[in-house]
Amino acid sequence: MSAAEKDAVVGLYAAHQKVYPREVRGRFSRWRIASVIVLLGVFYLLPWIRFDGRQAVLFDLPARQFHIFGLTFLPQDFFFLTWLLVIAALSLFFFTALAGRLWCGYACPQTVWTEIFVWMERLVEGGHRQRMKLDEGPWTANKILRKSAKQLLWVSFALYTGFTFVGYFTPIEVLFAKIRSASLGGWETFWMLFYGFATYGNAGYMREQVCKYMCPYARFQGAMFDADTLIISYDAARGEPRGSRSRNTPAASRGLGDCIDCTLCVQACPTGIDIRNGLQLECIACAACIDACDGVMDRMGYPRGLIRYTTQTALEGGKTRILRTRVLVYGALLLALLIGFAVSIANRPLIEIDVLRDRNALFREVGADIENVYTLRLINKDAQAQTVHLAVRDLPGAILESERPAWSLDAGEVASATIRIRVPASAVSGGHDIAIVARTGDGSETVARTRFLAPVAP
Amino acid sequence: MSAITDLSAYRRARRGQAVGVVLWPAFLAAAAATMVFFAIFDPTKLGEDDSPPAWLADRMTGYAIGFFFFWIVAAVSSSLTACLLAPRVAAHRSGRPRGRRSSV
Ligand code: SF4
Ligand code: SF4
Repeated sequence: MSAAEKDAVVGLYAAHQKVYPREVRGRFSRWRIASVIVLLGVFYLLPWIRFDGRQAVLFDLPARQFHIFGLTFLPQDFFFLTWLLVIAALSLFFFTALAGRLWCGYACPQTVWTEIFVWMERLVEGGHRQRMKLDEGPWTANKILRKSAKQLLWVSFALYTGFTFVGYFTPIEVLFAKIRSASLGGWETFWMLFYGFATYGNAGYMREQVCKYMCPYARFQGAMFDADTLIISYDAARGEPRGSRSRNTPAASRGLGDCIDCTLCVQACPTGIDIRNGLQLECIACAACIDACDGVMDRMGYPRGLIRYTTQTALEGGKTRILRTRVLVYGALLLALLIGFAVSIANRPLIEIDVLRDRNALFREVGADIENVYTLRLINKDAQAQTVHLAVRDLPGAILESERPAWSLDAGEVASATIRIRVPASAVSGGHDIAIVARTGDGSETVARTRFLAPVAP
Repeated sequence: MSAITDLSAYRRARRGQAVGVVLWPAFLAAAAATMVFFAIFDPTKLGEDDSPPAWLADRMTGYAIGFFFFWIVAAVSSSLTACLLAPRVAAHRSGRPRGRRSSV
């Protein structure tokens, strides 16, 4: 196999050489590491946190209930999830307009997991030059040892990631116990391997290829950019004409710009591009080139920032406007949605009623009364037990009977109740809209509307 | 980017890319579809009279079948789109490798 072929196979999506980014240290790499620690910390620890006697965040799919810190959500609350997704999309618009691809460089799961996988790779295989040599060289004992050590680290980390992922759906302590007793369910095993494998492939092998070829955000973010969006850019006016020179030579004395053409920015770039060619679709705004170039500028005794976070307006000598129509519109919409979300979550009824009419008979005549039968599903979405009283409204003279005077429901409990509503025949004719009311101890009410049917009076 | 001299390696890489470009958007669409579908329908109530369908053991199986079904449907659609977007080599045989960067 030729080197190119090998890369194509190993890189899976790469029609180019495998990228061996040079490791850089600097202000922005420290920010990224901090962000990786926080985000992954939250991901791996959250399922272990308990709240009110149960896992704080649990998407209990078998029971069709989501628990998030004492709030219970049911399929009927799907609306909130949609709302949340709209908020997420709008925040992405907002931050993209303001700060460009900040998300890509610091918060995207692809970046975050890749960072950890690269870190493990460096731990066993060394820096980018050593890795290049190792990959080119023959399969010596040393190479086999290092490669298997890396695989061992990667695979265990990926499996643990899959385990944590499934731990959001099956209580993680139960899951852990099941693994220890080797009694894991089929689907749990499957999704654990599935998510683990996806992490392994994406963070270990595909890396920047995901950003370049598969990420939809990378393609449409351009639509949210304007001249005042924060981008990472090379200051060509200051850097050109580029050229090498010895240390501490004032650039002007040789008729050169500040760029010493050391190509460190190119070597540091995880996507393998040259930022000096201008803003490119491939650039994930990771700021590795800034850190690399700042280091060079420090050593040369030149001011930092030949490559920097800036805006097109600023590069052209203008003044960047932060508050512009686009940002204000996105921001106002986002704020309105967030407030609306918080208010409706706080005010959502904690008891939910589903009404099903009896299928067998439209109505029954019981003595001088007309009776309709319904089956109710009572759902308690509160984090504590509730006692519910049922009543009928909007139908004069109607009484409601059920097998119990009151229903006590545990947190998250769903109960089924059969109720009979009875009205004197003289008082009704044809169909009526009625309300069934569930009242809790604290006086809050949930109302469900349905129809009451009676024979049409002659 | 360094030039690829070996055409078969190039083709293989392009094919790999196509797989990613087809499967990933299909995956996203399937995830969204699964969420919406099962928020509305309980898999164990898809049978007659709200009872579980005979072939369905439990909810998790229902969700998984639903998810893979949506993924396959979306992937079929994505791959047809990919086919239609690919330059028509037969019609314009120009000797250059198949596929343009901008077409993906
Ligand atoms: S050009 Fe710079 S910021 Fe963009 S991806 Fe490369 S190193 Fe990161
Ligand atoms: S790191 Fe800075 S000085 Fe070196 S080539 Fe890049 S822009 Fe020029």
